[in-house]
Amino acid sequence: MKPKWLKIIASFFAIALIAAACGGSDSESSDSTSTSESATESTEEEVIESGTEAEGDVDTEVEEVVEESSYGGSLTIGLEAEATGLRPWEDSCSSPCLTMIGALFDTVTQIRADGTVGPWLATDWSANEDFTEWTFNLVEGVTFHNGKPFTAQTLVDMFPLQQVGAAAGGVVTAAALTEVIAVDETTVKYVLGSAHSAFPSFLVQPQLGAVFDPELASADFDGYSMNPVGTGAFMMEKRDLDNETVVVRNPNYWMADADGNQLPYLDSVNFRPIPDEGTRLDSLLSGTTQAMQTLRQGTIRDARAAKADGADIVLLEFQGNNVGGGMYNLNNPPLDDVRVRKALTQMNNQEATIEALGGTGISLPGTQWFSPDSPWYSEKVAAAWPKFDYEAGQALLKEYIDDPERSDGKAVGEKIEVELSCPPDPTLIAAVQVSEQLWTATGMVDVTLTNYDQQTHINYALGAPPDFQGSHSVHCWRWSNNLDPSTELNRQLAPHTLAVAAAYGLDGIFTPTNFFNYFDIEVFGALVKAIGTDVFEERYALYEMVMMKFATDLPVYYSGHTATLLALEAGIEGINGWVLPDGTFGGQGWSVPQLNQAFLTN
Amino acid sequence: MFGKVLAAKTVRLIATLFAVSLLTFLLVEQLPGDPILAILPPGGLDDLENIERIRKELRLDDPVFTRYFRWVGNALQGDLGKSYITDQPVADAIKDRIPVTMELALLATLIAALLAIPIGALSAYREGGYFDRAMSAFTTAALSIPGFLAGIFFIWLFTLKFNWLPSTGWNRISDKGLFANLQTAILPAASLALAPLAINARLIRADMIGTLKEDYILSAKAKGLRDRYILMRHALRPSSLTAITVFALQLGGLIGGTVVIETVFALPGLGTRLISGIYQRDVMMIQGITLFIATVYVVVNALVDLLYAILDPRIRRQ
Repeated sequence: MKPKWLKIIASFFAIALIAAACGGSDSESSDSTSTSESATESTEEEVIESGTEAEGDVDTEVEEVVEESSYGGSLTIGLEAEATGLRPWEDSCSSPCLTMIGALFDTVTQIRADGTVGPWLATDWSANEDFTEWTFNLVEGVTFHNGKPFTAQTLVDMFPLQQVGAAAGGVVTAAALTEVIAVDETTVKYVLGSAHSAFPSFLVQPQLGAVFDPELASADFDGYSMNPVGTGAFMMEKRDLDNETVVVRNPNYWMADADGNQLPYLDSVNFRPIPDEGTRLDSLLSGTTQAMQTLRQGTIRDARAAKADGADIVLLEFQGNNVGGGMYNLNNPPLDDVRVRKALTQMNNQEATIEALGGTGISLPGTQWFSPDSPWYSEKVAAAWPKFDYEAGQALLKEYIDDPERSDGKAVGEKIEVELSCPPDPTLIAAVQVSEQLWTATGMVDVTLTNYDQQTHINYALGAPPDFQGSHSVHCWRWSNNLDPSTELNRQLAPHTLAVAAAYGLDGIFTPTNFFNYFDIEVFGALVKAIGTDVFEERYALYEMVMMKFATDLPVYYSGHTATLLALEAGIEGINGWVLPDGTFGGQGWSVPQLNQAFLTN
Repeated sequence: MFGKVLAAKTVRLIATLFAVSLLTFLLVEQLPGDPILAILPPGGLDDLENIERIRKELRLDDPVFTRYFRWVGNALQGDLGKSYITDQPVADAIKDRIPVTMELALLATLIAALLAIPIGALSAYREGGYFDRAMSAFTTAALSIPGFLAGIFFIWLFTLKFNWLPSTGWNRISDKGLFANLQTAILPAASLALAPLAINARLIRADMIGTLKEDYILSAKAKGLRDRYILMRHALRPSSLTAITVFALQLGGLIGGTVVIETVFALPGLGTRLISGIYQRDVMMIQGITLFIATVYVVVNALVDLLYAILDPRIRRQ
């Protein structure tokens, strides 16, 4: 006679094993085995469909919200990670942090879906003739969460903190911002040390544009990160680091919808950091969360597969102006020779790399820093970018290694050596292995693959002060954003050493973030010229010229554009199709949802 | 005699902790690159004056050993420094997170004990039988499956399949009560419990097989006592000593072992903070948490050693 408790234990294991082995037909969509099978099938279908689409648009269309809005409800959002801090001027911020900061703070200006800058806390603005003074008119009657009024003086008082802020200091320098003056209660003037025709773009960025209570921030610098006070649609309710951050409706929010209903609609939002990509998606599919963000193409593929399997979710996908790939360190022979860079670029199969990244049919191949739906995108550059041509690449490389004057000092005919480095992410490693195999197969390249954590990876490229000459060789990287091209390009293409600057008569102009160590006076001149005019056609031509130089000088090579996803449970509206105060559509991308117009329909 | 043992153990404990602290500090120090650069966003790197200001503020321009001894000196007073990235005191971060990690480790140990004891005892009692063979297969499988994989399986089974439990998040007892807390704790704890469960079930089984062959067990059987009574009252206790020791050692190990599980289940424990610290190159946080985990492990080991010395006079004499 077996004891009863033995039977209970045996039954438990039996149930668990049976449950593990079987899957109910009605719930197969959430079965990981079937998900994985369906993912394969569905992805294959998507590949075909998106293959045709790959040259076209894979972004979700921004559409007007047609559902009738309603108040109430709560939303739990799965974020990629915990925010390092919520002080916009001080803390380094990526997608998760930007999501929270966007709920708590308002920025002076805002980005539109078409990439232009539109109004937010500033209703309108104008510049003097040489773009060195910018005057902004501000919305009246805005108050902070603690009831204090927001005025032009607030922006003036914020400036000293921003000047020395770890996050804002660099933006202040990049914008050459020297002074902020309150003209009257609702008019503020920003004074720049040099012309910048795209200055309002800097005020979209939370580092410089997010409005915080300067008095409180000075009084409790560390504490502000845990209890931030902004003018945003939501107020901090609870900050439980690495677990959940709960924000609740700001009853005194200044913004109203088109019908005059006060925003926001939601009672509260719960941000939950879920670093593991699979668990984050599972949390959405199981209803533990109602929304999630991702920048991983593999997760986008899995989310698409889950939707195809019947999951009741909405996928908002965006490419944005961010492109991945690798950069060559021009200080590091043989990469100082354009023949080598061109050869390696031509022998890098972009489509195979994107496939290894899990991005086939999701990520568009990159040819420049702008995605095809960006106003700055150039067909001419796309056509000029070197295509995959293995034989041509081999011929160029042969020419280099047979050159008695080759720059790496090796003997004629000897293989070149490159170190190909990426952070230790499985998909990134798979992608660089594609390049490694192709380059090694020529018999002319010795490739060493290395992986370092993200920060070490960046540090290798950056080098050490005061010279900042990175020791990297070929380095995985991402470039660009949805803001004005000047915010990234002008910073990264300035002289990389003081000696280089001096050689071109640009004494003192130097940037540590020219990671490729590439400098071209023509390119630099074009970039300076581009911030001296606000005529779009002129600026477009100048940035096109810069990208054309990239296609010939090749300081970088591209894989694909960074696809991002916001996945939502069905019944959440207002995240796609949110509008600025002037009624124009707001910008999407980087999987950062704008929550002040979100509402639930169920 | 016991005083000498205690003194010797304490000296060894201090030496080990000193070595751990030095090794942790130097290993983090050896990471390439400048920790200041981790604090700043790419845009902030253009401001060289700002970089130098922050370096001076954090006293990173001092020589390595000056910084080490300052850190150790402060640590001895309970001050593990402040995160370079978030400005949060490291001691506060540990204090906030240790309840989560500790609860997970204790719950995992409890689950492992509650299941290992009956499984081990019954396997020994039915040595070579179906149950014993089935459990042998189960423990082999449990030892072979990494905890994070078990976690992913549990999420699939109990969240996606049955929707019984949440896949992620942590309900604090103080906020939402014990039941809600257990809802979020049970899956990660069960994932962590698998390996100790398997090890201890095997240990108990092996010890008990020996115990069941002792004369006093045969004598109890001859007296006509019931099997269950003999098993639980006479055989289990002498067969549990090894397992109890191992449980104690495992508890120390589990605190470090929660690192991956906490990441899979997105729990606000020490492991999650350590991982994010590594990603952010948050030097003070990495050093502080590593030292803390190592200290717990070393102290638990020392306590177990002392327990042995108390229980077994032969060890005291050695």
